[in-house]
Amino acid sequence: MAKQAVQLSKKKRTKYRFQKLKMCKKCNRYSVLKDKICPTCGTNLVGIESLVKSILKKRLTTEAIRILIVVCLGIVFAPTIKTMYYSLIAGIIFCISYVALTSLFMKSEYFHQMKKLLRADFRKIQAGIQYDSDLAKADVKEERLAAAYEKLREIGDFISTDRLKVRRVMVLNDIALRSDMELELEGLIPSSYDKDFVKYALEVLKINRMLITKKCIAYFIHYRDAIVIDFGMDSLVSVAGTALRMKLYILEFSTFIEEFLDYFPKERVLRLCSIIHANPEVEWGGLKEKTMRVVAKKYHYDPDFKSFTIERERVISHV
Amino acid sequence: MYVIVFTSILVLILLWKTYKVLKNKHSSGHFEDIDDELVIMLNEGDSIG
Repeated sequence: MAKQAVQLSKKKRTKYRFQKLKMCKKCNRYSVLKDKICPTCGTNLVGIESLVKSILKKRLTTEAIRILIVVCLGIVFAPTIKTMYYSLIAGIIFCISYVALTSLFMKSEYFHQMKKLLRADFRKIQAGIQYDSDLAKADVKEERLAAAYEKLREIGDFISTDRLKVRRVMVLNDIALRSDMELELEGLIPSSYDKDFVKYALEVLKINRMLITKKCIAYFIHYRDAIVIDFGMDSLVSVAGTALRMKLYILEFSTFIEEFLDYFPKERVLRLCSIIHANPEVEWGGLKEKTMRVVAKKYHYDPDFKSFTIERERVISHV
Repeated sequence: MYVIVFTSILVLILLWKTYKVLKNKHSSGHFEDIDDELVIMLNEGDSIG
């Protein structure tokens, strides 16, 4: 199947994940998707924060009505005019104290209400996300890959199972990836070897090396045998080359880099030389020695490596 | 007598309310905790995917 050229929209970011939860009051169903309208009944979805605020407002209104009834009954049933005035004044002081107390603890009340709602509606939230996931499945079937991926991406904020990660990767593998897309890699690393993930990671590597992080390199090293069988040695050479992105990565994966140094393109060797040369105080171990050997063997006459070879010759002549 | 009973009722209501809000304040934490709790609960059992 040819890869589909699509336009992926930017991910909506919120401070907290639960802020993405929305509810259709008519269907009594939660959703984590970006849609503002319920796909089933067409009514507007209400954000979880608005929902909690309205529940809190309703609760406080009920409480206010109750205390007003108590105060009014106190005034109505007062046996004398004097006690009636007393009840009125006491009632007013009581109401002011009640309002002050409520406003003083409004933040913790809101927090408590939010926690209570999420716990009480947990099954509903779970069912809602499952429904969202089914919508994404339907989109994949109808080859609306962008819509399917955007749905899975939103669900991915809440669900971090391997099954969902693999589904996201499979959709991404059918999309023609571009550097302007907001891609993700680290969050999609499954807990076991997955051919689709490696395929996607290698594609991402070509587009945006920045996404290949420590965790991703570690994944490639851990499943290197399976990766070599499925994707060949070149894939590991590319990943080892990407590890040269940062000094920290070079130090962390020096053995892995050393292993594939002979297969690195000139530009990668040059980068490694520059980093080693710029940090003489760092203990590079065998990597420095091997790099110098590769430079001496393959790039001895290359003007780009002149400064490094001169230094080596100086060291040798000094010895 | 009526004044004492009425005042006691109001004070009791106020004390009960204070107890409730202080209890909620004590059990409240950070919104990050709600986030974490929700994610942990949703990922239990690997049921969605």
